[in-house]
Amino acid sequence: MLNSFRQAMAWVHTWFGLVLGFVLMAAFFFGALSVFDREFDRWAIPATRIEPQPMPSFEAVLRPAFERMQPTREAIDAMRPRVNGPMPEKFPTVETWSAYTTHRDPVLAMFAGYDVPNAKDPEEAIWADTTIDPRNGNVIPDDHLKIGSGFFFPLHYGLTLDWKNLGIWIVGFSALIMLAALVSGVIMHRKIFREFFTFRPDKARLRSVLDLHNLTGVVALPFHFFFAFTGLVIFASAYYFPVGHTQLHDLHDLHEQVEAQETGLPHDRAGVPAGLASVDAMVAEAQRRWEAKDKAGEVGFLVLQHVGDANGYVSVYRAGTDRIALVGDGIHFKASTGELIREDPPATAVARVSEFLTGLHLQHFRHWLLRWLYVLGGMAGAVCIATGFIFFVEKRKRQHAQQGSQGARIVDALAVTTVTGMVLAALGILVANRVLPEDLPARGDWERYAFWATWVLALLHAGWRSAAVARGLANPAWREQTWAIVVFALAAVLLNWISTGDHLLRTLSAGYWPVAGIDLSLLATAAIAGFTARSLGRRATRALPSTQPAEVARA
Amino acid sequence: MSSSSAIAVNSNARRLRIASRIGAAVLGGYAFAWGVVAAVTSLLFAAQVEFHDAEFLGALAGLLTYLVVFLWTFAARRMALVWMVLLGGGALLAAAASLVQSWLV
Repeated sequence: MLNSFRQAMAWVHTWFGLVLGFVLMAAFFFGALSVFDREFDRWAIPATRIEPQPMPSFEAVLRPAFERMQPTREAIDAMRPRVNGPMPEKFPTVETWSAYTTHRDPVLAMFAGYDVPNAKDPEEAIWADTTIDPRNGNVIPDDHLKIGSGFFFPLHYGLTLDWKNLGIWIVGFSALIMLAALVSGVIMHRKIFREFFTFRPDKARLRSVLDLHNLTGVVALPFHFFFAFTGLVIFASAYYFPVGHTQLHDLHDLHEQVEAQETGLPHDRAGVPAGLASVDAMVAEAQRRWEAKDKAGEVGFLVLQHVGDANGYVSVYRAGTDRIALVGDGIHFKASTGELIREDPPATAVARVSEFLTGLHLQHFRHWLLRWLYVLGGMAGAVCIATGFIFFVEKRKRQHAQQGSQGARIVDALAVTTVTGMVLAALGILVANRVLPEDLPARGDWERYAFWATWVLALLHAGWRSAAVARGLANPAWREQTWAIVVFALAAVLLNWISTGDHLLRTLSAGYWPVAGIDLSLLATAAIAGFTARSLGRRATRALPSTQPAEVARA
Repeated sequence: MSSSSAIAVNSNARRLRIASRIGAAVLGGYAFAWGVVAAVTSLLFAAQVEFHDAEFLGALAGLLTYLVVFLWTFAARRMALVWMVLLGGGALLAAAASLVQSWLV
């Protein structure tokens, strides 16, 4: 195993890459889809197929919507064990109200945090969130699943395994393995730069698979390293290494006291009730101040802290549409009077680096070409891992066939499930989204079930058809599931047309790219899958005569 | 029979060695990385760096350290040394962080 440094690295690359590769496939694939999360949301919730909207008026739209919010039953039940004594049913003290939007959001995400009397950690709040149509304040029903930002995105970073944040830990560990696989992969291959330009599609199958693995790994190496690393950085302080909440909690508290003194933004409530001046006027004043600094822009994030208290303040942040940041240039006002408390000074050098790393990963800024390059990079990562699986199987399957080992067969069936099966599951949820009745209770849950059911069926199918691999042949499930992708992708486009009337001629002529783009991508997926399935079919018929003697010999 | 049981013992010992390396890389590596995150964060904060900036730099340092010690664990010849550095070093770094905190707070 460990006779030389290079062999040790090859061992790490092969075995960790194999085991965690299945998770990494999901992280890369759903990451690539999450690049267009808002667009999937529009496709999935036809009532929200409107143009992006700016942050609406607080007084006219936000305030009534905030006042209607309360934590859900589930949130209250989840909080129960962290409270001394009985859990209240209503939460009158609002710690924070906030709303976040980007240049791609027709609907507005709103968040509210409430004080919990008797909470074991007095700093802990209970949270509620909602989504509204910012034109009129109407609530978008919770059970209408935002398939992009509410499902593909959480899959990308946490597999939607919420229990003890298990999914976030699994994906984080896989990201570490991705980094280790990149480093060990470079060490394994001395001729890295020659491989950069090498792709021999007509050479022996094993060689061309390895070429494609190296090509997609090396060409996009900076992309892969950057995204795996910044993904870890984004979650490091909150999940992976929460030193500020645990070991260095006292240091963090000290910092908060100093910060509150320096910024004049109160850390705690005063306990004295107070009114609220016009927030719209504060927003207008913030925009005037940005413009005076030549930084005109929309509001990205609006926060009210300690609502209804004399210590309350309002923070207005400029959207990160025009730069690599989520939001910034915060301006803070005293809530009761509207008087200016503070304008955030320019960020420190370290904070700018942090903002750059986070901002480039999450891409809330406007750059459509880069957005598509992210999709390509994510797909390159998925191809790199998929070819890694195929190389693993192809290298071993004849030997395993002779030894009667099931190893290659199992890995191949899992590879089918994570490659074609995952695409099918993603298409399955889109199809379910257009087939289920509009007013079905808990509609979003049914969509999720459709996703997992499709994936489980793909696994069963891959396992059922895998016997060929144990004889050193190809699993026909690859070809069959690729045909299924063609059918599902075409069905999704067709069902969108039938159920909403938004066919491509209409969306393209109206220039409504969120829906047109998803439909066109689905058609492209169908075309690529059809081409692939046909060539897999030709390969299977070519392979057939040459295998017959072996079959005869066995008989 | 004796040769086949020798092979079995051999392969069990090999499995154990691999498990020990994986354990050291994953858990030992994490303990060491935690120590780095905590030590870098507290030392930078002591050097007047803003807390969240210090926390961010600590995370960067810790994550890169985790990657390096993870790979080192598989390349190293002596596992005893690996375990000692990762657990001992991690504990020392974490203790240093708590010490710095106790001076500052």
